[in-house]
Amino acid sequence: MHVSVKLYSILVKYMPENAASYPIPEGASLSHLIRALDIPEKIHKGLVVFVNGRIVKDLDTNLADRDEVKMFIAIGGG
Amino acid sequence: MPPDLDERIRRLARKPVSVCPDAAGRSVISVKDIARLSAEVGMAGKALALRALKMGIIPERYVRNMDTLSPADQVRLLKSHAAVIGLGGLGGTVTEILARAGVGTLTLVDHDSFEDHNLNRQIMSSEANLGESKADVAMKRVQEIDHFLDVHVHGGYLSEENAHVLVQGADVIVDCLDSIPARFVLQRIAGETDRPFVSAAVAGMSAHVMTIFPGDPGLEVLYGNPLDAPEKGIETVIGTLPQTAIMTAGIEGSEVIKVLLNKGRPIRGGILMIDLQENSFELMTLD
Repeated sequence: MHVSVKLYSILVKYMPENAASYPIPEGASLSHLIRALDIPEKIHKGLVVFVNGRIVKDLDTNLADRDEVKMFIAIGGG
Repeated sequence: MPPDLDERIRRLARKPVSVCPDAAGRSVISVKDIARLSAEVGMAGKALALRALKMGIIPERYVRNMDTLSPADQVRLLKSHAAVIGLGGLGGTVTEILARAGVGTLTLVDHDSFEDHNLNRQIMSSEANLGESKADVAMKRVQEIDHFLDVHVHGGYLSEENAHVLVQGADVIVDCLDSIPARFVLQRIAGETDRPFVSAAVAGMSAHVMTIFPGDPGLEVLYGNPLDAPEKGIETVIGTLPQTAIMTAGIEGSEVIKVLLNKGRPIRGGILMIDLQENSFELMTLD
Protein backbone atom coordinates (compact mmCIF):
# COMPACT_ATOMS: atom_id res chain seq x y z
CA MET A 1 0.00 0.00 0.00
CA HIS A 2 1.00 3.65 -0.34
CA VAL A 3 0.76 6.67 1.94
CA SER A 4 1.59 10.31 1.37
CA VAL A 5 4.25 11.76 3.64
CA LYS A 6 4.94 15.37 4.44
CA LEU A 7 7.64 16.39 6.88
CA TYR A 8 8.27 19.84 8.31
CA SER A 9 10.98 21.89 9.99
CA ILE A 10 14.12 19.88 10.75
CA LEU A 11 12.41 16.74 9.48
CA VAL A 12 12.45 17.99 5.88
CA LYS A 13 15.79 16.30 5.28
CA TYR A 14 14.14 12.90 5.80
CA MET A 15 11.54 13.49 3.05
CA PRO A 16 11.74 10.66 0.53
CA GLU A 17 11.66 11.43 -3.20
CA ASN A 18 8.47 9.44 -3.60
CA ALA A 19 6.77 11.18 -0.65
CA ALA A 20 3.48 11.69 -2.50
CA SER A 21 3.02 7.94 -2.79
CA TYR A 22 5.38 6.20 -0.44
CA PRO A 23 5.22 2.39 -0.41
CA ILE A 24 4.89 0.58 2.93
CA PRO A 25 3.81 -3.02 3.69
CA GLU A 26 0.08 -3.68 4.06
CA GLY A 27 -1.12 -2.63 7.54
CA ALA A 28 2.29 -1.20 8.56
CA SER A 29 2.36 1.01 11.64
CA LEU A 30 3.44 4.62 12.01
CA SER A 31 6.59 3.51 13.79
CA HIS A 32 7.41 1.30 10.81
CA LEU A 33 7.07 4.35 8.55
CA ILE A 34 9.19 6.50 10.88
CA ARG A 35 11.96 3.89 10.88
CA ALA A 36 11.72 3.48 7.11
CA LEU A 37 12.23 7.24 6.72
CA ASP A 38 15.43 6.99 8.82
CA ILE A 39 14.21 9.55 11.35
CA PRO A 40 16.70 9.13 14.22
CA GLU A 41 15.46 7.37 17.34
CA LYS A 42 16.51 10.26 19.60
CA ILE A 43 13.92 12.61 18.10
CA HIS A 44 11.02 10.13 17.98
CA LYS A 45 9.77 11.40 21.36
CA GLY A 46 9.39 14.93 20.02
CA LEU A 47 7.44 13.93 16.91
CA VAL A 48 3.94 15.33 16.50
CA VAL A 49 2.18 13.16 13.94
CA PHE A 50 -1.10 13.76 12.16
CA VAL A 51 -2.85 11.18 9.99
CA ASN A 52 -5.53 12.61 7.72
CA GLY A 53 -5.42 15.86 9.70
CA ARG A 54 -5.94 14.30 13.14
CA ILE A 55 -3.29 13.89 15.79
CA VAL A 56 -2.10 10.34 16.49
CA LYS A 57 -0.14 9.84 19.71
CA ASP A 58 0.27 6.07 19.53
CA LEU A 59 3.02 5.31 17.04
CA ASP A 60 1.89 1.67 16.95
CA THR A 61 -1.24 2.80 15.11
CA ASN A 62 -1.62 0.99 11.82
CA LEU A 63 -1.82 2.98 8.63
CA ALA A 64 -4.22 2.41 5.76
CA ASP A 65 -3.72 2.76 2.03
CA ARG A 66 -3.74 6.42 0.88
CA ASP A 67 -3.41 7.80 4.42
CA GLU A 68 -1.93 11.29 4.52
CA VAL A 69 0.81 11.46 7.15
CA LYS A 70 2.24 14.79 8.31
CA MET A 71 5.01 14.99 10.87
CA PHE A 72 6.17 17.97 12.85
CA ILE A 73 8.48 18.26 15.80
CA ALA A 74 7.46 19.87 19.08
CA ILE A 75 9.29 23.12 19.76
CA GLY A 76 9.47 25.24 22.87
CA GLY A 77 11.08 28.60 22.07
CA GLY A 78 9.46 31.84 23.13
CA MET B 1 -17.56 62.50 37.24
CA PRO B 2 -18.02 66.24 36.57
CA PRO B 3 -21.63 67.03 35.62
CA ASP B 4 -20.58 68.73 32.38
CA LEU B 5 -18.15 65.96 31.35
CA ASP B 6 -20.13 64.74 28.33
CA GLU B 7 -20.46 68.29 27.06
CA ARG B 8 -16.71 68.87 27.45
CA ILE B 9 -15.93 65.64 25.57
CA ARG B 10 -18.38 66.67 22.85
CA ARG B 11 -16.71 70.07 22.50
CA LEU B 12 -13.31 68.41 21.98
CA ALA B 13 -14.65 65.95 19.41
CA ARG B 14 -14.11 66.66 15.74
CA LYS B 15 -14.38 64.93 12.39
CA PRO B 16 -11.30 62.93 11.42
CA VAL B 17 -9.14 65.05 9.14
CA SER B 18 -7.54 62.57 6.83
CA VAL B 19 -8.08 58.85 6.90
CA CYS B 20 -11.27 56.86 7.23
CA PRO B 21 -13.68 58.97 5.22
CA ASP B 22 -16.04 56.04 5.70
CA ALA B 23 -15.91 55.98 9.50
CA ALA B 24 -19.69 56.20 9.50
CA GLY B 25 -19.66 59.91 10.22
CA ARG B 26 -18.17 59.36 13.63
CA SER B 27 -16.35 62.04 15.54
CA VAL B 28 -12.98 61.48 17.08
CA ILE B 29 -11.06 62.80 20.05
CA SER B 30 -7.27 63.11 20.06
CA VAL B 31 -4.72 61.71 22.50
CA LYS B 32 -3.70 65.25 23.48
CA ASP B 33 -7.27 66.35 24.16
CA ILE B 34 -7.97 63.31 26.34
CA ALA B 35 -4.73 63.95 28.27
CA ARG B 36 -5.63 67.63 28.76
CA LEU B 37 -9.15 66.79 29.91
CA SER B 38 -7.78 64.09 32.21
CA ALA B 39 -5.56 66.68 33.93
CA GLU B 40 -8.41 69.21 34.11
CA VAL B 41 -11.09 66.97 35.58
CA GLY B 42 -8.84 64.57 37.52
CA MET B 43 -10.13 61.45 35.77
CA ALA B 44 -8.00 58.67 34.31
CA GLY B 45 -7.47 58.86 30.56
CA LYS B 46 -8.83 55.32 30.16
CA ALA B 47 -12.07 56.28 31.89
CA LEU B 48 -12.40 59.28 29.57
CA ALA B 49 -11.71 57.13 26.50
CA LEU B 50 -14.41 54.71 27.67
CA ARG B 51 -16.86 57.58 28.24
CA ALA B 52 -16.15 58.99 24.77
CA LEU B 53 -16.65 55.57 23.16
CA LYS B 54 -19.99 55.18 24.92
CA MET B 55 -21.00 58.55 23.46
CA GLY B 56 -20.04 57.30 19.99
CA ILE B 57 -16.89 59.45 19.89
CA ILE B 58 -13.84 57.39 18.95
CA PRO B 59 -10.48 58.08 20.57
CA GLU B 60 -8.55 58.81 17.39
CA ARG B 61 -5.81 56.34 18.34
CA TYR B 62 -8.38 53.58 17.72
CA VAL B 63 -9.96 54.96 14.57
CA ARG B 64 -8.09 52.53 12.33
CA ASN B 65 -9.40 49.63 14.41
CA MET B 66 -12.88 50.61 13.14
CA ASP B 67 -14.98 48.96 11.76
CA THR B 68 -13.23 45.63 12.05
CA LEU B 69 -13.67 46.39 15.73
CA SER B 70 -16.87 48.19 16.70
CA PRO B 71 -16.94 50.90 19.39
CA ALA B 72 -18.49 48.26 21.68
CA ASP B 73 -15.56 45.91 20.94
CA GLN B 74 -13.16 48.70 21.73
CA VAL B 75 -14.92 49.28 25.06
CA ARG B 76 -14.67 45.57 25.80
CA LEU B 77 -10.92 45.53 25.01
CA LEU B 78 -10.31 48.56 27.21
CA LYS B 79 -12.06 46.79 30.06
CA SER B 80 -10.07 43.58 29.48
CA HIS B 81 -6.98 42.28 31.19
CA ALA B 82 -4.37 40.04 29.55
CA ALA B 83 -1.43 38.46 31.37
CA VAL B 84 1.56 38.00 29.05
CA ILE B 85 4.07 35.60 30.56
CA GLY B 86 7.49 35.73 28.90
CA LEU B 87 8.61 38.94 27.22
CA GLY B 88 11.08 37.65 24.66
CA GLY B 89 10.60 36.99 20.95
CA LEU B 90 6.90 36.25 21.29
CA GLY B 91 5.90 38.20 24.39
CA GLY B 92 7.50 41.49 23.39
CA THR B 93 5.55 41.63 20.13
CA VAL B 94 2.36 40.27 21.72
CA THR B 95 2.59 43.07 24.31
CA GLU B 96 3.10 45.65 21.59
CA ILE B 97 0.04 44.35 19.70
CA LEU B 98 -2.22 44.23 22.76
CA ALA B 99 -1.18 47.72 23.87
CA ARG B 100 -1.80 49.18 20.42
CA ALA B 101 -5.11 47.35 20.05
CA GLY B 102 -6.24 48.90 23.33
CA VAL B 103 -6.33 46.06 25.85
CA GLY B 104 -6.88 48.12 28.99
CA THR B 105 -4.86 46.18 31.56
CA LEU B 106 -1.69 44.23 30.94
CA THR B 107 0.25 42.07 33.35
CA LEU B 108 3.76 41.48 32.01
CA VAL B 109 6.10 38.90 33.52
CA ASP B 110 9.72 38.01 32.76
CA HIS B 111 12.66 37.40 35.09
CA ASP B 112 15.28 38.05 32.43
CA SER B 113 17.29 41.01 31.16
CA PHE B 114 18.10 41.80 27.55
CA GLU B 115 21.27 40.25 26.17
CA ASP B 116 23.05 40.50 22.82
CA HIS B 117 21.55 37.25 21.53
CA ASN B 118 18.01 38.69 21.92
CA LEU B 119 18.63 41.45 19.38
CA ASN B 120 17.86 39.29 16.32
CA ARG B 121 14.16 38.93 17.15
CA GLN B 122 13.02 40.52 20.41
CA ILE B 123 11.30 43.69 19.33
CA MET B 124 11.75 45.48 22.65
CA SER B 125 15.49 44.89 22.79
CA SER B 126 17.97 47.45 21.53
CA GLU B 127 21.67 48.14 21.92
CA ALA B 128 20.74 50.87 24.38
CA ASN B 129 18.80 48.64 26.77
CA LEU B 130 21.11 45.61 26.94
CA GLY B 131 21.30 44.50 30.56
CA GLU B 132 17.94 46.08 31.48
CA SER B 133 15.04 44.07 32.84
CA LYS B 134 12.67 42.91 30.09
CA ALA B 135 9.70 43.60 32.35
CA ASP B 136 10.82 47.19 33.01
CA VAL B 137 11.52 47.83 29.33
CA ALA B 138 8.11 46.39 28.38
CA MET B 139 6.36 48.63 30.90
CA LYS B 140 8.16 51.67 29.56
CA ARG B 141 7.30 50.68 26.00
CA VAL B 142 3.59 50.25 26.78
CA GLN B 143 3.51 53.62 28.54
CA GLU B 144 5.15 55.22 25.52
CA ILE B 145 2.48 53.74 23.27
CA ASP B 146 -0.49 54.45 25.56
CA HIS B 147 0.03 55.97 28.98
CA PHE B 148 -3.69 55.48 29.77
CA LEU B 149 -3.32 51.70 30.00
CA ASP B 150 -2.87 49.98 33.33
CA VAL B 151 0.32 47.93 33.40
CA HIS B 152 1.55 45.58 36.12
CA VAL B 153 4.99 44.05 35.79
CA HIS B 154 6.84 41.33 37.60
CA GLY B 155 10.56 41.00 36.97
CA GLY B 156 10.96 37.67 38.74
CA TYR B 157 10.38 34.03 37.87
CA LEU B 158 6.95 32.51 37.43
CA SER B 159 6.69 29.63 39.89
CA GLU B 160 4.12 27.23 41.29
CA GLU B 161 3.99 29.50 44.34
CA ASN B 162 3.45 32.88 42.68
CA ALA B 163 1.67 32.01 39.41
CA HIS B 164 -1.84 32.30 40.85
CA VAL B 165 -1.13 35.76 42.23
CA LEU B 166 0.66 36.98 39.10
CA VAL B 167 -2.22 36.19 36.77
CA GLN B 168 -4.93 37.30 39.18
CA GLY B 169 -7.71 39.22 37.49
CA ALA B 170 -6.57 38.40 33.95
CA ASP B 171 -9.27 37.43 31.45
CA VAL B 172 -6.77 35.50 29.35
CA ILE B 173 -3.33 34.04 30.01
CA VAL B 174 -0.79 34.27 27.20
CA ASP B 175 2.05 31.77 27.16
CA CYS B 176 5.16 33.26 25.56
CA LEU B 177 7.59 31.26 27.69
CA ASP B 178 10.68 29.40 26.58
CA SER B 179 10.57 26.70 29.25
CA ILE B 180 8.33 23.70 28.60
CA PRO B 181 7.83 22.83 32.32
CA ALA B 182 6.88 26.48 33.04
CA ARG B 183 4.37 26.34 30.16
CA PHE B 184 2.72 23.39 31.90
CA VAL B 185 2.55 25.31 35.20
CA LEU B 186 0.81 28.17 33.44
CA GLN B 187 -1.60 25.87 31.60
CA ARG B 188 -2.55 24.20 34.89
CA ILE B 189 -3.21 27.56 36.57
CA ALA B 190 -5.35 28.63 33.59
CA GLY B 191 -7.36 25.40 33.85
CA GLU B 192 -7.77 25.64 37.62
CA THR B 193 -8.97 29.23 37.39
CA ASP B 194 -11.21 28.55 34.38
CA ARG B 195 -9.47 30.94 32.04
CA PRO B 196 -8.53 30.67 28.37
CA PHE B 197 -4.89 30.07 27.62
CA VAL B 198 -3.17 31.08 24.37
CA SER B 199 0.12 29.31 23.76
CA ALA B 200 2.74 29.58 21.02
CA ALA B 201 6.27 28.33 20.45
CA VAL B 202 8.92 29.06 17.84
CA ALA B 203 12.12 27.52 16.53
CA GLY B 204 14.05 28.27 13.35
CA MET B 205 11.39 28.93 10.71
CA SER B 206 8.69 26.84 12.37
CA ALA B 207 6.10 27.54 15.02
CA HIS B 208 2.90 26.33 16.56
CA VAL B 209 -0.01 28.17 18.12
CA MET B 210 -2.98 26.87 20.08
CA THR B 211 -5.81 28.37 22.12
CA ILE B 212 -6.83 26.17 24.99
CA PHE B 213 -10.01 26.55 27.00
CA PRO B 214 -10.44 24.67 30.28
CA GLY B 215 -11.09 21.00 29.52
CA ASP B 216 -9.67 21.19 25.99
CA PRO B 217 -6.74 19.02 24.90
CA GLY B 218 -3.63 21.02 25.75
CA LEU B 219 0.13 21.08 25.72
CA GLU B 220 0.44 17.39 26.62
CA VAL B 221 -0.48 16.49 23.04
CA LEU B 222 2.68 18.27 21.96
CA TYR B 223 5.13 17.65 24.75
CA GLY B 224 3.81 14.42 26.30
CA ASN B 225 3.56 13.84 30.03
CA PRO B 226 4.37 17.07 31.93
CA LEU B 227 6.42 15.11 34.48
CA ASP B 228 8.66 13.85 31.76
CA ALA B 229 8.76 16.88 29.46
CA PRO B 230 12.13 18.27 28.37
CA GLU B 231 13.14 21.78 29.47
CA LYS B 232 13.60 22.99 25.87
CA GLY B 233 12.91 21.88 22.31
CA ILE B 234 14.90 22.03 19.07
CA GLU B 235 15.22 25.82 19.31
CA THR B 236 18.43 25.19 21.26
CA VAL B 237 19.86 23.72 18.05
CA ILE B 238 18.22 25.74 15.26
CA GLY B 239 17.69 29.10 17.00
CA THR B 240 14.77 31.33 16.06
CA LEU B 241 14.62 33.76 13.17
CA PRO B 242 13.03 37.20 13.58
CA GLN B 243 10.33 36.68 10.98
CA THR B 244 9.17 33.51 12.72
CA ALA B 245 8.97 35.13 16.15
CA ILE B 246 7.23 38.30 15.00
CA MET B 247 4.74 36.56 12.68
CA THR B 248 3.86 33.97 15.31
CA ALA B 249 3.41 36.69 17.93
CA GLY B 250 1.02 38.34 15.48
CA ILE B 251 -1.08 35.20 15.34
CA GLU B 252 -0.89 34.79 19.12
CA GLY B 253 -1.97 38.41 19.63
CA SER B 254 -4.83 37.87 17.21
CA GLU B 255 -5.97 34.84 19.20
CA VAL B 256 -5.92 36.86 22.43
CA ILE B 257 -8.05 39.62 20.89
CA LYS B 258 -10.55 37.12 19.45
CA VAL B 259 -10.84 35.40 22.83
CA LEU B 260 -11.32 38.70 24.67
CA LEU B 261 -13.99 39.81 22.20
CA ASN B 262 -15.54 36.37 21.76
CA LYS B 263 -15.30 37.04 18.04
CA GLY B 264 -14.11 34.95 15.12
CA ARG B 265 -12.86 31.39 15.34
CA PRO B 266 -9.95 30.75 17.67
CA ILE B 267 -7.53 27.84 17.10
CA ARG B 268 -9.49 25.69 19.52
CA GLY B 269 -9.48 21.89 19.56
CA GLY B 270 -6.66 22.19 17.10
CA ILE B 271 -3.18 23.45 16.55
CA LEU B 272 -1.81 25.71 13.86
CA MET B 273 1.48 24.26 12.66
CA ILE B 274 3.61 26.72 10.70
CA ASP B 275 6.68 26.15 8.58
CA LEU B 276 7.84 29.31 6.81
CA GLN B 277 10.49 27.37 4.89
CA GLU B 278 7.65 25.60 3.07
CA ASN B 279 5.09 28.44 3.40
CA SER B 280 2.95 25.91 5.16
CA PHE B 281 0.16 26.83 7.59
CA GLU B 282 -1.67 23.70 8.64
CA LEU B 283 -4.59 23.74 11.05
CA MET B 284 -4.60 20.27 12.54
CA THR B 285 -7.21 18.63 14.74
CA LEU B 286 -6.53 17.43 18.28
CA ASP B 287 -8.86 14.89 19.86
